[in-house]
Amino acid sequence: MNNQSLLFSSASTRTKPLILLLLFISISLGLMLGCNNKVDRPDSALEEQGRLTDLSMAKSEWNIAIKDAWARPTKAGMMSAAYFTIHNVGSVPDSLVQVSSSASEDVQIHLSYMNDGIMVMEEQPFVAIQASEQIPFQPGGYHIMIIQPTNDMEEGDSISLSLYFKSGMIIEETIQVGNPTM
Amino acid sequence: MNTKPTLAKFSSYVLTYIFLSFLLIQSACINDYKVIDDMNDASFELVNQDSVRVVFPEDFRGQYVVMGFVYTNCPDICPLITQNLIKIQKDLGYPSNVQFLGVSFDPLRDTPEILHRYKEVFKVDENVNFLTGEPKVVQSFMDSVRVRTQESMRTTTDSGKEIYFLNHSDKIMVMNPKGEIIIEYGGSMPSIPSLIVQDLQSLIQ
Repeated sequence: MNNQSLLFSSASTRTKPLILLLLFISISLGLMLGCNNKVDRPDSALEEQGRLTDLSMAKSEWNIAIKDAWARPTKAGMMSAAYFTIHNVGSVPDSLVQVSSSASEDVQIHLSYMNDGIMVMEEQPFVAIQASEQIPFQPGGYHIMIIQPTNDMEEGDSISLSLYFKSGMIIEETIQVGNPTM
Repeated sequence: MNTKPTLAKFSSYVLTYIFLSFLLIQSACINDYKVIDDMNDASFELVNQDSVRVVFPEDFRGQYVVMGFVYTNCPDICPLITQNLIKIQKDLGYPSNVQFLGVSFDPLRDTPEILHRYKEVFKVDENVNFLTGEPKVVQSFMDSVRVRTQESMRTTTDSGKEIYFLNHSDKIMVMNPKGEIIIEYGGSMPSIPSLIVQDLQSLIQ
């Protein structure tokens, strides 16, 4: 006889409903707490990739800021890129592991660099950001590639950009189309 | 004895002579650009963004040509090259005797229609033409100006689109009215427009 059967067989008829009620409440609470965690966690696809390894990180230690964000104007079906400076103001290292945008279903982290006289562009699985470090995402370096956007991206428009971190945190930004410095 | 003053005088003459010779040689060299590639034996039949036939370099003989090499599926570097072309044209005051070209090294995807849209995105002036053509012709053109390309990444995106990117040379070149490539620059670098403007102004004067 297993433990559960023992529990029920030994419980009186009066305590049985109480046990069932307690079970119901604990399961419900568990589900509710589980749902609440979604606020700070990327989608399940990320978890399946085994990228989330440090979910225990205290929020107070984590502080990453995005500034000077903009995206290159383009036409629907062509290419664009988003740029910004990522600043780890917090006291713990983290890594940018995935991006998404309202502009396109396909958004990737890329790096352009010169190698042996040839300009190379490669997709990056992640970009590590040490505590207090600032990493510029700028033309000719790190950038977020927006592949074949659904709509035209005109100067002055705005798009959303979501940045997913290894820690499980997400930054959601609305960024302007068009380089403000030009 | 008055040998010392004579020697001093002689030395000052020699130094003045050397200095003036140096200045003369320097001034003669200012506009003396070495020919990197002579395009006169070449003839490439291409089309521009409006599907108008263009023969390179014949159609541009007699004028300076500033040309950059791009592909429109390039989200990062090629826009910088294109913006540099635009800036050079603007800083030179939209000269009618200088032709600006953006030549695609991805003719399979960069059709005239796509190049037309690319021009619209960058709000490029009329006097800038974007060229494409038959893949074999384009490849031969790229070989002749030593622009290297290689497929870097072919991937299927999350939404199922198959895309590829190209690693490529990063160049803007200047061809003189005789059909000779005389200067090459790093195409995407922010400092390039001012250098090209300076060089072209000294050449055109």
